Amino acid sequence: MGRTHGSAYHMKRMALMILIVLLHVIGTALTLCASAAVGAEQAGVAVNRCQTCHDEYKFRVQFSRSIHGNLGCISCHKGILNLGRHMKGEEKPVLALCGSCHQEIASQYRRNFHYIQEDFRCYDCHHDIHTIKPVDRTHFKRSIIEKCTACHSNEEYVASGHSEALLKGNEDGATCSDCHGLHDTQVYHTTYEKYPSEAREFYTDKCKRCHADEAMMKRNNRSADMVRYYEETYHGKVQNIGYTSRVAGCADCHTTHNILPKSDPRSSIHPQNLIENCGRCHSGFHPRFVDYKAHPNYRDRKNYPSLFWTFVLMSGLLVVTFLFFWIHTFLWWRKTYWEAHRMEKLGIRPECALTSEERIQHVQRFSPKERIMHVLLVLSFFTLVMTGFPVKYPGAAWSKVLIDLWGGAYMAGLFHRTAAAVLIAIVTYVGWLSFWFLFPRGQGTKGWTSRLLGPNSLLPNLKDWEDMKGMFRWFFNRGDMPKFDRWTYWEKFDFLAVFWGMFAIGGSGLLLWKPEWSSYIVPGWVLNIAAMVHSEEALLAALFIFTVHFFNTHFIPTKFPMDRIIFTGTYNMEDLQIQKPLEYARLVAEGRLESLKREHPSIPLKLIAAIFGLSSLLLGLLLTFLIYWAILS
Amino acid sequence: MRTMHKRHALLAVLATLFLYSPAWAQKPAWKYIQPEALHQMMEQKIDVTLVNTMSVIECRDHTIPTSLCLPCETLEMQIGKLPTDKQRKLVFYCESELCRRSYRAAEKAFKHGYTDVSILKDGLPGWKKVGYGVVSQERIPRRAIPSIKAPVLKTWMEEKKSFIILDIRSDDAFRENHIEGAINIPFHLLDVRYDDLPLDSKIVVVDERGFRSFLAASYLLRKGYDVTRLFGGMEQWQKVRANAARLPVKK
Repeated sequence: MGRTHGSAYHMKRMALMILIVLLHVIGTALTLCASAAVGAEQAGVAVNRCQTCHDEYKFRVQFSRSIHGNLGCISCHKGILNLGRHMKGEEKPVLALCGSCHQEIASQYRRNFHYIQEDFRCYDCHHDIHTIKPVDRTHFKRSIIEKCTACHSNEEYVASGHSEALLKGNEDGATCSDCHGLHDTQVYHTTYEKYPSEAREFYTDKCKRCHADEAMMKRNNRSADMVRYYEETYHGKVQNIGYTSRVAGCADCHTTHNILPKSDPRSSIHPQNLIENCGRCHSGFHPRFVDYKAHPNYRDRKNYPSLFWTFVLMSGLLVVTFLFFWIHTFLWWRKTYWEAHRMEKLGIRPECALTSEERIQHVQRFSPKERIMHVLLVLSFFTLVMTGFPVKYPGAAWSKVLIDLWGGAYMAGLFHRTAAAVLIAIVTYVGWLSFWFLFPRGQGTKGWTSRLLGPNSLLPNLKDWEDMKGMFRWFFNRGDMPKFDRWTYWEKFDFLAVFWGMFAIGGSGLLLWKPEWSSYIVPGWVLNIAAMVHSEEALLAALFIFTVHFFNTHFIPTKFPMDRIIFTGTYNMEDLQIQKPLEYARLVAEGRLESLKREHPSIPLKLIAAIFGLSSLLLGLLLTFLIYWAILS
Repeated sequence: MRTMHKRHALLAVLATLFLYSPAWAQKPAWKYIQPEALHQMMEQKIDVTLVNTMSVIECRDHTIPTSLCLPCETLEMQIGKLPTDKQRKLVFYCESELCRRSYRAAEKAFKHGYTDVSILKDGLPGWKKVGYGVVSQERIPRRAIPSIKAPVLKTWMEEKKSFIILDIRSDDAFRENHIEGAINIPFHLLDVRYDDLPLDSKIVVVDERGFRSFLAASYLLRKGYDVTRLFGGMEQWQKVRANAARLPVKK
C-alpha cells in the first residue's frame, strides 16, 4: 500500500519534473528562436543569464515590456561567445548595430548631418533604447519637438503658427522632422549659406508637400491653391525651371522657424515688415514696391479685380484675334487650293498683259535696309520665344532642355534681355522712319494726311475694310479677288501688331526688367499685371507669327513653302501685277516703275534666303508644337 | 551650362593670377585625394599614412581606421611620430570641408621633407558621406547639450548672467578676434587644461563654425561641467554682428 502510495508519489514527481524540463526546453527553444530571428549566426547566452549580473530594473523588467522585449540581449549586443571570458572582462560586445534590422532607416541615416558631422549613433538620440515603447502616433509630432529641442532650443519655432497648431493638438502642424527630415536630416549650411540653391529647393519642396495637399489644407481652413498661385508668378516659375539660387522660395519671405500669419505684427509678412522682408533680396525700391502680390489669384474678381480684368481682356484679345485670323486663313487656303486645282485641271494660265521679257524683269519691293531689319527681327523674335517660353511653361517636358541649350536660366535671361534690346531698337527705328515718311524733309507737315491715308501708308483705311469684305466674298465664290495696292490689309495688321505687341510686351518687359526702379513709376501690383500682360501677349505674338503670318505669307498654296521676297527684296513684274495690280498701275502711271527695276537675285542670295527662311519656318512650327504640347498637358 | 562653367573657370583663373601672383609659379605642393581613392588604396594594402589633424579628444572619439592622431597645432613637436621614409604617402584630414587645419599640417609636413602629401577631400565628413566606416578608441557619450544662438548669447551678456565663454579655437584665431570676455583653451589642449575651468559656472563653448563645440561640450559634460554651446560658432556670431545688432567683439 505504502509502496503503491510511494510509487504514485514518484509518478507525480516524475511527471512534474518532465513537465518542468519540457517547459524549460520549450522556453529555451523559444528564446533561441527569437534571437535566431535576428542573429542567426549566434547562439549561446540566454537572456536570463545576462540578467543574473545585469540585474537592473531597466534590464529585468522594463526591457521585456519594451518594443524589443521579444528579443534576447545578444540580438543587439553581439560578439560574446564565452560567458566566462566576458565575466572576466576579456570579451566585450561590439557596438550595437541597429541597422541590421532597421535597414531602411540606417541607409537614410547614413546621410544624416548628425552622423556625418558629429557621429551620432542610434542610441545617442534613442538613449532610452532598453525601455523604448512603440511609437505613440497621437503624440508623435510633439515627441519629436521634445527630442530636437533638447539640443536645439528654438524660441522662434515655439512661437510660430506651426507649433501653436501642433501644441493645441492639431497633428497637421509641421514639426521639426516635417521640414528637416527625421532620419535623413540634411543641413545645407544655411547658417553661412554655402548651398543657397540646394537649400531653397529642398525646403520649398517641403513646404509644398503639405501646403499643396488639398485635403490637409481644407481641413485646416487654408487654401491649397496658394502654392499654385505662387508657381504662376515669376518667383515660382523661375524656381521651377531649376534656377533656384536667385529667386525667392517660400522661406525667403515667410522665414524659416517663426512663420506666423500676416495679421501678427511679428510676422515677416505683416504689412509693417514687408519693406524689410522684400529688402532682404531687393534693394533700391520705392516703398510701394511691396504692393506686389506674391501669390495672387487672377480668377478672383473680388480680391484681385485688376488682375482679373487684365486676364479677361487679354484672353478676349487672344480669342478674338485667333478666331478671326484662323478662320480667315482657313477660308483663304481653301479657296486658293480649289482655284489652283481648277486652273490646273482646265489648263488655264493666269492672264497677264506683259511681254515675256517684262514678265521676268525683277522689281524691288523691300529695300536692303528693310530686309536687314526683318532678319534682325526674326533672330531677336526667336531668341525671345525660346528663352521666354521655358519660363512661361516651366513644367513642360521640353522647358528644361531648352533652357539648358542657352547655358542655364541665367544665360537665357541675358539672351532674352539682349534680344529685347535689339527688338526695341528696331521698333524705335521704324518709328523714326514712319515719322520721316509722314513729314519728309523739305515738305514739313504739308500734305501729311494724304500720305497717312495714301497707298504707301501702313495705316488701315476704308479701302482695307472693303478689301476684307471682298476677300470673304471671294472665299465663298461670290466675287473676284479684290485688287490690292502696295500693302494688303493683313500685311498692315502684321506690321501694326508688332507695334501693339511692343507696347504691351516691351512696356511690361521694361517694367519687369528692373522691378525695383519700376516701383518709382508704378506701385507693386502693377508688376503683377505687367507679368500677366507680358506672358499672355507673348503667347499671342508667338502663335500669331507661327500660325497666321507663316500661313498667310509663306504656306499659302500659291507661295508654298515660302515667299523669299523679304530676304531677296525683289519679285518679278508678273508677280507684282498679279499680287498688287493697283500698285503696278500706279507705278506705271507715275512713271516710277523704271527706277524700281533690279537685277535677278543671284544664286548665293537665293540659297541663303531659302536656308534662313525655311529653317525659321520649321523652327516656328516646332515651337508651335511645343507650345500646344505645354498648353494641352 | 558649359559656357557658364567655362566663364567661371576663366574668372577663377584670372582671380587666382591676380590675387596670388607671387605664388602662382609654384603649384600647391599637396594634392587632393578623393575618399574613394583612399579607400581603394587601403583595400589594396598600399602603404599610406593617414593623419587626423584634429584634437586627440576628437581623434580618439572616432576616426578613420589606421589614422595617427596628430593635432595640427602640435604636429611639428611630434614630427617624429610620422614615418621616417620621406617618400611615403601622407594623407591629412580634419573635421569639415571648410577647416584649414589639414592644409596647414600638409605644409608643415612639406617643410620637413615629405614629398607625397595629400589632403582628403571634404575631410572626415566626406569619408563618411561615401559610406565608409570609422573606429572609436574612447567614444564620448553624446548627450543632449543645449545650444544657444548668437542673439541669445548677446542678451545673456547684456543681462550680465553668470557664465564663462570658452573659446576652443587656436590661439592665433583667438588673438585675431574673440567674443569679449572669452577665455581660450584650444581644443587640442582641452584634455590637459580643462581643470582650469571652474565647476560652479555655466560654460558656453565657442568654436569656428559650430562643428567641434558639441564634442568639446560633451567632453566637459562628462567631466562634470555645466555646458552649453554657441550655435554656428564664431562665424555665426560675426555674421549676426555684421547683420544688425552690434555684438561686442574684441580685436
